[in-house]
Amino acid sequence: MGMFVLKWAQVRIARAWISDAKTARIWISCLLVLFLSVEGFSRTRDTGAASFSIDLDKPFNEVLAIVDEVARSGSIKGTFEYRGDEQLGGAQFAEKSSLFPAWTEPGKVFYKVRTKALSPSHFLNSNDVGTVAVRYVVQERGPNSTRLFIDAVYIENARHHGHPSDGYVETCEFGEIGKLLKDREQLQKLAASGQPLSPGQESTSLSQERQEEIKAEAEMTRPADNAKPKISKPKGSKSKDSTPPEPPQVAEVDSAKLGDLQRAIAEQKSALAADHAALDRLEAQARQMRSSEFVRVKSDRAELKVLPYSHARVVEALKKGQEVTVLAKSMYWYQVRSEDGQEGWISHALLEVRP
Amino acid sequence: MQRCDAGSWKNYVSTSIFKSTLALVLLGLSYLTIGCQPSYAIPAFARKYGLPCSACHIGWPILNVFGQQFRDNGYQLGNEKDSPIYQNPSYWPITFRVTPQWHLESQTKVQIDDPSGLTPGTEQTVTTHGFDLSGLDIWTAGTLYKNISFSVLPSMGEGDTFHFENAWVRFDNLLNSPWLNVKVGKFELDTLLSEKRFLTLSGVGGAWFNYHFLPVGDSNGFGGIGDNQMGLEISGHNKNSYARYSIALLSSVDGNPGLTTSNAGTAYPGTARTYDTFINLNEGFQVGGLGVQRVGVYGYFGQTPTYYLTSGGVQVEGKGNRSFSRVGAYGWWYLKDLDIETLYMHGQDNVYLGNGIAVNDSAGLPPGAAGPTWNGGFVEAHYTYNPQLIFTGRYELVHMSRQANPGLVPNLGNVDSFTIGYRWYPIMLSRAGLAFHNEYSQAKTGNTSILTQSDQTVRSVMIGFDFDY
Repeated sequence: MGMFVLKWAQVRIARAWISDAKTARIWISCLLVLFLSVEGFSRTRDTGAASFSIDLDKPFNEVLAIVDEVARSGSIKGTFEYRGDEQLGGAQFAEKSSLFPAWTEPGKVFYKVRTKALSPSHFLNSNDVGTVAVRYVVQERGPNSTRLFIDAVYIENARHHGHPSDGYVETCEFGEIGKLLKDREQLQKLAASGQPLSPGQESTSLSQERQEEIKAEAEMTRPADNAKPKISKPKGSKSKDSTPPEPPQVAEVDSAKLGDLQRAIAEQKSALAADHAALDRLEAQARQMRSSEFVRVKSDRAELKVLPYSHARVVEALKKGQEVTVLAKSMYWYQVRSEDGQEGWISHALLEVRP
Repeated sequence: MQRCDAGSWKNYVSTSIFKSTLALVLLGLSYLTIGCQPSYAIPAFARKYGLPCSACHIGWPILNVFGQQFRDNGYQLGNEKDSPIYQNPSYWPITFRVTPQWHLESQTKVQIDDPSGLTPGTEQTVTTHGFDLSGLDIWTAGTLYKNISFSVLPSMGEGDTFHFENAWVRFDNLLNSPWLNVKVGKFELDTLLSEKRFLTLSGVGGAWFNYHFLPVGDSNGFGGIGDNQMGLEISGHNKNSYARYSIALLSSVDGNPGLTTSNAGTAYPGTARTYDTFINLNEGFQVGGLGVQRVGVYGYFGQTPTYYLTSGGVQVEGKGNRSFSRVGAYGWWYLKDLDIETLYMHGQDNVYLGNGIAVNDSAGLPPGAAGPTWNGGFVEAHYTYNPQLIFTGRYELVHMSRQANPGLVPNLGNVDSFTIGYRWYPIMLSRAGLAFHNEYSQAKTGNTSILTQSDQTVRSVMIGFDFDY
């Protein structure tokens, strides 16, 4: 039957070619031109480049733990199916995904996958039903430096067509990671200072288990002299080296002197903490200076935006030739800091590398 | 000094039209590159569910795989979003569609009367063009209750009265199975390659010839499988709608209410008392990374009266029914963003229908008369550059393999046609959709000119705005 139909079609086409050669040739030529041109277009459209990367001044293990938690969160931020929703629920953690080519470079890779997603938003030309996958790659760059890559893609079930994210999904996913990193840092500082956590501080976005882990870590690493306030013994008191020190006799301590000493210690600690913080900031700035890319605005009209979107709110208008520091990169947008300290997103097409 | 004769004036006009069209196209494309926006579309269901139109359409109105599944499931998603509490209170389940346009229609070898009436006249090309409107569709569809869906589509042409393009109720998932659904009313036949959802709208390209073809001189009242029909349909599908079937029992009235075969014209307004059958089976399968491929077979088997009993001169009951059939196969092939629809059809009408002779007048049949048969098919390609820009091209033919009357030339009524065009959707929102539609279509019909019995060619150019809200 198939052969008969094929033969019939061949005969008909041949007859059409002979009987109405001009029309048929024009028609076939048009189709060929159309096909070739659109194939050319299609090759240049979906680049599949790494879409979001950022260097963090955090230890590898710390970032890894947070990314692992986000990858297991069960929802994908920055995309949705139904109007009014803010995220895509029902996502699963995965160690592998066929939606991305195998990652061959160094780093730990995680995936978060949501199947049966219905034309999810923020994927270019999203259509039909398919699977959304987010890939996180965490790379160790140094003892206190970690690079993070985030990519999101949507693949249709029927046509297997890949739709890269417009950058918003990666940005929102990183927003979640950044928030958790900040919470963790706060908890660590509080735990290290020995102050009890208030109920408000404990109810951060970190899970209860993670909070307990962080507190335990902080307890382990807390310096011994920080564990309890050291109280000097009064003069003339007996001490035996072979026996453990006796509990301090509070009643014997001059309460006024003790108060002065405690205040002095607190002041010294405060000054030391301020010095440490300043040092940390300077080190961070130095690292950023070393790793940052300086670019400048090449377009007459360039707008710094709150989010990586054409329609996002404008932070400030940048002038041609103005230099900016790149903080993070997504596929089409760079997160930058302007000379006056304003941070935001700008389309990479409007920037050029400073010579 | 340049001579200004008719030829150069024609050249000037055609060049101007070409330049204007090109400028419009370039303007459109430049706007497209500057101002792409998210694609949301067909208003009624998009509003209901808060979904983008791209969930169901490759490009409005072509359905994607999920859209087909949604349609097959009685316009239900099959999740909690079907519940009325999730639906937007301002949801209004009605869509209006109309297409203001500029179009040109041209036909070669049209018989032009001799004003004196002394001669049969002459043949010449007749061309008309201008601004125009399409008909108006007012479409409402949805669910009356869980697993009870409906559609009502009153439609009217400019200056016409309303008619029901479709009006049906469907009981879905009977016995809790997607394999059993029953639809009653007037509906589009379950043709996977839907003429109601294709991308060409011009005077020549706005219908598939295969779906409506009748040989020259044939009196069959059946308007083709492209016409919506009246009856009852039992259908089913698997979960993802890759495998589908449908069987329909249809009144032999070509979808006309009042149990009349008015499609055959005033000569046959009487009642047909017979029933037709339409069967369609199709299967979808994945081929590597190319996507879902669909193949199917179909058959329409019907009868139509050849004469009528009369009462007081009024035709009241159809008699002398004779058979006809349309059978074939089709495929819908996806190569990522390029999809190609292919169709083959074999048609045959009874000898009495083919010669327009009543059964009770067998002497009227010409010597050697036979039932006319023909073969046809088309290849139609769509390239979805993105959901807002779709190119389309089609080549279609219908060739007679046997004429009803051996005295007729073999290629009388043959059709060879092609259509090219594109649709650009600057607006596809849940509130409204707008498509800038450009199309050229041409068809050659074999030996149909009246005076010289030679081939005629009809052409259409259409530039319009197809919108719904």
